[in-house]
Amino acid sequence: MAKNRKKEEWENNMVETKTTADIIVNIIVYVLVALVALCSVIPMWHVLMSSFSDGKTLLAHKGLVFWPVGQANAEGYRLIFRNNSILQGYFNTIVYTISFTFFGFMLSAVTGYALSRDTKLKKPMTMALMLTMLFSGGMVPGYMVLRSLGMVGTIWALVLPGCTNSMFCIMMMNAFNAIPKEMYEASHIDGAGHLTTLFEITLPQAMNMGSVIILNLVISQWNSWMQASIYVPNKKALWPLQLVIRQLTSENANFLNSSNPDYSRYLIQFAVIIAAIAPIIIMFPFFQDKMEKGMIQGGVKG
Amino acid sequence: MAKKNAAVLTGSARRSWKTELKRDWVVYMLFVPIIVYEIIFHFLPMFGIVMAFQDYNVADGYFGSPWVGLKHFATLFGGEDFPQAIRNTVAIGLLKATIGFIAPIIFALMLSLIENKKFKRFCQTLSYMPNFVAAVIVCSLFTQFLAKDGPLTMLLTNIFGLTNQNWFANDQIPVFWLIYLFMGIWQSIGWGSIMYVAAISQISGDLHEAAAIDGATRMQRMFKITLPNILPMIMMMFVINIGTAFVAGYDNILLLYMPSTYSVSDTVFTYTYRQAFGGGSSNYSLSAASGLFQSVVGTVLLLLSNALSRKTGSSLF
Amino acid sequence: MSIRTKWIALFVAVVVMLVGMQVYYGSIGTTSSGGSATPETTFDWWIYSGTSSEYYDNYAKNPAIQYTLRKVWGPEEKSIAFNFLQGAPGSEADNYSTMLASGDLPDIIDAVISDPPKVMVTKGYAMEITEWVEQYMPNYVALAHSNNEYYFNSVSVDDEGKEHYYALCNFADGYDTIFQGYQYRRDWIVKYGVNSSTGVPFTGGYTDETDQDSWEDNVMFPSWYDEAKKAKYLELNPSWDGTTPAYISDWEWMFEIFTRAQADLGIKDKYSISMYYPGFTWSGGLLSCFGGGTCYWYQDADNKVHFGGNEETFKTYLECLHNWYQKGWLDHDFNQRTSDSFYQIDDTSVRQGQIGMWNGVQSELGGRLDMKDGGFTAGIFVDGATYPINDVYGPESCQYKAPDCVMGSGLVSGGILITPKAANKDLAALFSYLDYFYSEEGALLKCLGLSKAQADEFTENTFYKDNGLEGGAWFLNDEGKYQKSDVLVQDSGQLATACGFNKAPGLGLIKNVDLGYAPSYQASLDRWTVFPNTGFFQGTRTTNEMSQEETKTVADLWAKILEYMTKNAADFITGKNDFEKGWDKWVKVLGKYKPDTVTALFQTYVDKYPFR
Repeated sequence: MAKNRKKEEWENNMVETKTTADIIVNIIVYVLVALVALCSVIPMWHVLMSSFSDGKTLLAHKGLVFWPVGQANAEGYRLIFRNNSILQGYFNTIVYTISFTFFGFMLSAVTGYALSRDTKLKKPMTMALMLTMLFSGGMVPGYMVLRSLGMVGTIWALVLPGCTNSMFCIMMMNAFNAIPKEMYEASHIDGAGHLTTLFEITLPQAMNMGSVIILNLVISQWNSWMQASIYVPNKKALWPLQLVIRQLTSENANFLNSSNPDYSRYLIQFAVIIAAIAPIIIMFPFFQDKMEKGMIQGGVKG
Repeated sequence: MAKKNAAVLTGSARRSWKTELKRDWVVYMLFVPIIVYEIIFHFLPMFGIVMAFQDYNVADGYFGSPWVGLKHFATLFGGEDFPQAIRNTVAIGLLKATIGFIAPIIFALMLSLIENKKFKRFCQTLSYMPNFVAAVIVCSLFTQFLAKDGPLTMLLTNIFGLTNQNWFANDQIPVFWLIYLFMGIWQSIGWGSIMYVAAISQISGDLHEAAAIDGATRMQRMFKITLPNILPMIMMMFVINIGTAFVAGYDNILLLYMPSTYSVSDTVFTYTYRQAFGGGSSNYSLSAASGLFQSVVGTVLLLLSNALSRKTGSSLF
Repeated sequence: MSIRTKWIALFVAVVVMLVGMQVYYGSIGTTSSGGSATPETTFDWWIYSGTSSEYYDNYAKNPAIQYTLRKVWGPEEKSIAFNFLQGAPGSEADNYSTMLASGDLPDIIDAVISDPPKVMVTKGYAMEITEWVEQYMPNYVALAHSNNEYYFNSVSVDDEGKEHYYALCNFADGYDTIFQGYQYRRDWIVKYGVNSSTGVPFTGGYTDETDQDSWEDNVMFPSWYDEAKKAKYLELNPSWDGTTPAYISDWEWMFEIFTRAQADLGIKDKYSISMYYPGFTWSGGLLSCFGGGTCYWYQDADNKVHFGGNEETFKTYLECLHNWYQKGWLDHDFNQRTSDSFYQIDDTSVRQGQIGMWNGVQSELGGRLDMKDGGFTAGIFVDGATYPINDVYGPESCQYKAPDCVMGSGLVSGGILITPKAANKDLAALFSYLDYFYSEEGALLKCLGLSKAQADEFTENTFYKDNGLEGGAWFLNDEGKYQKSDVLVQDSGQLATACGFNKAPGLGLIKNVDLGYAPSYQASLDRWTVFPNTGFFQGTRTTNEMSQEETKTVADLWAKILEYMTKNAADFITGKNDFEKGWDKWVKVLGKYKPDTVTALFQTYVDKYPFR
């Protein structure tokens, strides 16, 4: 902590010799980074502006949309929020992401710790985990196993399968291995058992790897819809956001096949994209700080 | 004698189960959750792998379908379009594993050179956005943008003088691969750089200060200090990436390719998808065989790259 | 609090949250029943798609379904209930294969994406239902025997002449409207065209500014004034009166007018008509107008199977397009528009009012494309056109023949399969219930919904009142036809789908149903189905009865052939390839694939199931 503050202070106060090469490099870097940001944003801007446009005019419009085409309106949004399936989907996705990440991280951390300790099971377990990486039975056998456990059609089928994999466990094992032996010995001398060592002492140190895993878990669960479409197709109240979005877009795909089409339905495909991303974009800067702190806590060790 | 002593030092080989359990029973308990998890979700469903070696049909199930050994693999590898699919898979995978891998690193390095904190944070947040958009939408956006008279096409025509055409219908060699690579980079550059940015920010300020005092320019500092310090992380990510670059993420191609571009866009995954699910009834056995092939390839690559990275001092396992 | 305690607390919180959600949401009911249904009379019914979630989130809440379930069915007068299962949108096929592969069968399966009924029965997914149909479904049996097309597509006759029923099919009493067809800017014809016989410019326009279908004009097409052509066409389409295009020559006359219009209005770099990017659609369509048949396998009027990829029809069609290309009438970039559907090619140019003729959907007819912004769409009126008859190109065998391979539904479609899971349930009640929809009364409920009388009687359900349908979903109009309620015609969403029990197998009412459209709109729709599909047998009993290996053989061969055609047909149109040596090479390459083996294969089935 102190180190970083010092670095910031130094960066703000330092006097640097700026050669012309430096200035050119500066300009190039600023321009390139701005370009990347721009490229990322332009398609999103296009979608955002399209979602507020007039449907009929938008259909006849060619090219990028920089400003709402035709009469600006929020009809697209009104249509998708008409019933609360999107809000329900949001809620569900948040619950699933938290649960999935939690279970996955817990499992990986605990397993990683156990693997890093010198036990008789260390070798066989590592082998077994590698085996699971090699072979996978596929969608249908998985379905059959879960069905025999009674998990089909329940929320457990959405948050448990796939929450961890051998790679994450091994990554955590490496993270724990990287902590100097002295730490373990010291805590052992202090009379701490394995659980205390794991949670209070070593886990905080392994958080840089842990953050990687958490990030991966969050992203994979946020965008997922396939698991839900297999296991809870008939329980709309349990659908995650992406599945709700798929339904909205596919239902309105043929809106032109009627004698009196409602052109606002064309806006739905744009509005759902914005509705799905907007809260994340708004909230993300707040989480970013926390995340970076978590990553900094440990050190990146080889 | 020395060997015996060594064994005593390491210990575990000579301890009996009883002493083990007494000392470290907590650790053994910690293994229980993952064992249960793996059994339920991985080992039990593994019986499904036999499907790759059978002529699976649902009425007979897994236990009644006739055994055909390696017939499906022969069909897979023997198809006349399979070599082409392999070539495309390798090409796209290589591009993903090299340029696609480096892009977030370069972006993170560039971000580290930026002094204005607000600008840096702003650009970072913007760059995250594409990652949250679903693949289907990304594909339809790009199809629109790169169609004839599409915004991106017009840009290419006006600035670089390339012909105005539908780029997705172009079946000349690097076109589809480059478009696909660009799509991948566009979607993941921001998110992929998060870890590198965090790693960079941990590098001790003292090092930079010392170097600056010695007269090093920012660029020199980047190459001599920043880069080597994040090298371990880069190697680790590289290993993880290699395993997946050739195997995963090809479902986008299903949305983007068409018969006239099969020669450049067909990959092992899409090829077997067509074999298994195109034209008439589905052939589960074939798709199981293909899945098996792909996961074996992925694992072999992973182990290879891990062995490679061990040479540089840091590896996954 | 130590970190460990924090984690444990978090774990407990997460588990509690999940359990709570599961209990609360996981048990929301999905069954529909109107009375005292027992487990033996409750059936799980899997639907593919085609229902709307806009008005109710479970198909069981459909008012027509609920209305019928209030009654009792079968010889023992039982109440029935249904549990509707539906795949998540976008992955219905995955849901279907998981369902089958894991053995988790429902009682009833929507047969839309399944293998042919006989194959499903052999594989054990479905049951043969002959005994139940013959005993409890008199309406169905009577309908199935009433004409050849119904018979050959629903009844399977074995070698001893015994009849077998494997699936319950939908029977339509007429050819349904299709959602797409060729249409053109008739207002340009009026403004820039001249009567070919008298030389007098045309006049016409909207009679009522507020009604986008109220157009009148005095346009007559040139082929009307050619006695021979007129006579020949009236044999093919007796309802023609000269006010709509009939021949290719009429189309070319229109293209010249369109070119003049575009020059006058300052529309640059546009064309009269575009084409699907390979240059053709393999189900036929415009291709079939040049002598019948298509580039796939088809059956001619004598029930003989041909492979059309190397025949004169295809060659003549390509010659015609080549000529259009050279004259600038055909879009020079058609080959590039690979992401456009065949009924929405270069959609933005069409909607900007820059194109003369295109293949589009019904929401573009009349004045609906008018953007009211003073652009090129000002005063637009779009009229539907029939497929044109070829009177210009190729040998005589390719002229004056009606197209026989067009897109369009046959009279028999889809249906449902009953699985072995239902064997122990009360099938007598189920089949009696299903037979109801083959009677006219039941068919009305299936296709349209409740009448005013029925809606008034059905007081428990407020769906009709809530959606402005106090007058019922349909009523009997002055001509004795069943007319769709005005509210449904004006509705832009899926209210109509939500009203009827469209997923039930039954009699599809087409002939006596008035969809309530304006006369010019209805006339356009009718023109799109003037020539029925009698040659393209994909999806009929012919292909449905083939074994799995045969289907795969055909599909594999066709995939290769189609790939070759897609890559090379466009070259003939653009002129990159010539018709002398180029066509010989084309025939030679196609011959190498040996399409005749498949021709012979199809012939055996067509002989068995002639549906003409």
